[in-house]
Amino acid sequence: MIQIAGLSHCFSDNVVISYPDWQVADGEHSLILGASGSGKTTLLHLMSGLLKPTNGSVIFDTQEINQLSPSRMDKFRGAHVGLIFQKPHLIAALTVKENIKLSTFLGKKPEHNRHIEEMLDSLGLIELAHRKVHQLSQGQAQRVAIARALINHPKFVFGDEPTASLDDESCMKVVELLKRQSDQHGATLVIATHDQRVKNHFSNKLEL
Amino acid sequence: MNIPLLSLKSILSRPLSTLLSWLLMSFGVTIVVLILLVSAQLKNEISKNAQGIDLVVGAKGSPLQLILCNIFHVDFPTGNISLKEANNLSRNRYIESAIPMSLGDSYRGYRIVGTTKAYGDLYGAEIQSGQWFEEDMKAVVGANVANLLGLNLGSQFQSQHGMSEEGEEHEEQSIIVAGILAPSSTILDDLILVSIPSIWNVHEHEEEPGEHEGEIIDLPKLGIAVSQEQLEEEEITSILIKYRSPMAAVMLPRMVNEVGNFQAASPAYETARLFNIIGVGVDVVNIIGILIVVISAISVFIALLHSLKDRKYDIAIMRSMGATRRQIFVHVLMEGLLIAILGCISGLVLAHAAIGILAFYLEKLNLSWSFFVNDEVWVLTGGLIIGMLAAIIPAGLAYKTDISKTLSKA
Repeated sequence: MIQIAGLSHCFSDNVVISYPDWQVADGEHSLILGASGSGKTTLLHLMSGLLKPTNGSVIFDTQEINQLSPSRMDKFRGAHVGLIFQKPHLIAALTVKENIKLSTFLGKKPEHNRHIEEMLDSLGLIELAHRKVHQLSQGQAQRVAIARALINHPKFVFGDEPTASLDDESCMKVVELLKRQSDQHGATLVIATHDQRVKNHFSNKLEL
Repeated sequence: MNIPLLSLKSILSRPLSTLLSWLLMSFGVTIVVLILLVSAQLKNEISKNAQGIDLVVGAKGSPLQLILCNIFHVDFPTGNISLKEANNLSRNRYIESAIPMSLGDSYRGYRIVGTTKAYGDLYGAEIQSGQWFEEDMKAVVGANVANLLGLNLGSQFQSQHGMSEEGEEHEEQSIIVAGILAPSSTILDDLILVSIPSIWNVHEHEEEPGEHEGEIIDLPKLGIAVSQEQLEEEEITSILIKYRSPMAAVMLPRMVNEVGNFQAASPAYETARLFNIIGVGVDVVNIIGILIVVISAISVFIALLHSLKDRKYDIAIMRSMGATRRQIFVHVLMEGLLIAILGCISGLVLAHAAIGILAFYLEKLNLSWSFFVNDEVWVLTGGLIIGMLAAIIPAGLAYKTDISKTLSKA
């Protein structure tokens, strides 16, 4: 379960943004909706520990993550959190498979080849395993980013506009994929978007 | 996957800038190490060849030339000194031993030295086959000479006047090889040794060689025996002197310089002077080498800084995947370090290969590719530190990357 309470963040230019209390149950799929500039990304960063809130708390199950030291936070994120962004931003120096391996390494999880290939296979990427990143289409690259976020079986998956730069068909595919994979791994899914196409696929919505 | 592998893949994904940095580092290290190796081996060589010789006495001229010619056998003789006066000097009480030298002839580019067995003993020469010359017109040849000219025991050859291969031959007189020396890595390897009178013989065109009237006089200090006529008339090039006491270093040179056209030169002093002269050139080349290494560091620095612009997001993503700040720092630092390590290793290999090639073309220089000096470790350490310094600022910037800000700016 993820719980946010009394959360606010003060930017460097003294603009303060406050968020309503909200919670997401274990295994639930939820959506943060709002126009650009409404603070969706900031909320997602606060919830995933990339940013420390000025006030309030973010609680994962019983762990209040904003109390963790920066390096413990990095480790916690590596072990329990999967993040997907609007653009895939894969590491260009590595192949598809190596990008996935990097995730297991940074998350301090064992690097099982079979496990990685299963993941690639389930996302229809197995043929692309040894491709360089720049040889992929936008949709393929986004699927690799999903594989990278999920390979460590995170308990919490966050998506920041994961569908914004995709066409309708790819958009639906990615949403289905995220939901299916999260269910498969028992992960809690939180997506921040202004994309109206995905609105109706989720029940727990936080409108900003 | 691990950090070093990630860094390696990262530098390989920028092949051109990596190649440039690597080449610069490599050449810089090559130059520095090459200078180090050549000067160390040269100094080694010089001290080996000058061992046991405290003073060289010869005709007036350049003292450096006297040393170069009589010890290292590279320059031309300064002239001759009279045997009689040389003998008188050799009886001086400050002198422990004196070896006579008579230069000026050669055979196919290799110098013929008229001397005594004492000259061979000076370098601890050992006979490989045959024996030391007991009589005139017999020669003991160095290992290289025997090898390269194909001389065997009993081979005959005519000496040539002068030091060049085109010298006029002394046709009337043949020299017979009586002994071949074992390799000693000293100047002896490249010399042909004969007795002092042999040199005189080949230059006597009119008279009957080898026949001199009158009683034979022994010159014990010089280790030769000559007739009265020879003592009066003949000349030698120089004598190599070993002092009897430290006092001799003070007294003897002054005494020598007072005699006729004699001059005394100290090998230790002249070689030190030579190194001072060469030293400027060596320093300049060394500075160029170090400069290239520094330019390489700058190229690493610029390449990393430039790549960070594109990789800011990658780094933020890696942080979001659980990478700690320290891991990111090490990752970027390792990229500079890897280029430095590769450059240092290839520079070292290149320098030793260059020595090997030099040794092949300059047989007289006695260089060896497998010769290592301790200072190479310092060059390597220096190279690695410079590589690390070049990467430290980019690594620091990567360390400080603000994940949230970078990710929200995409």
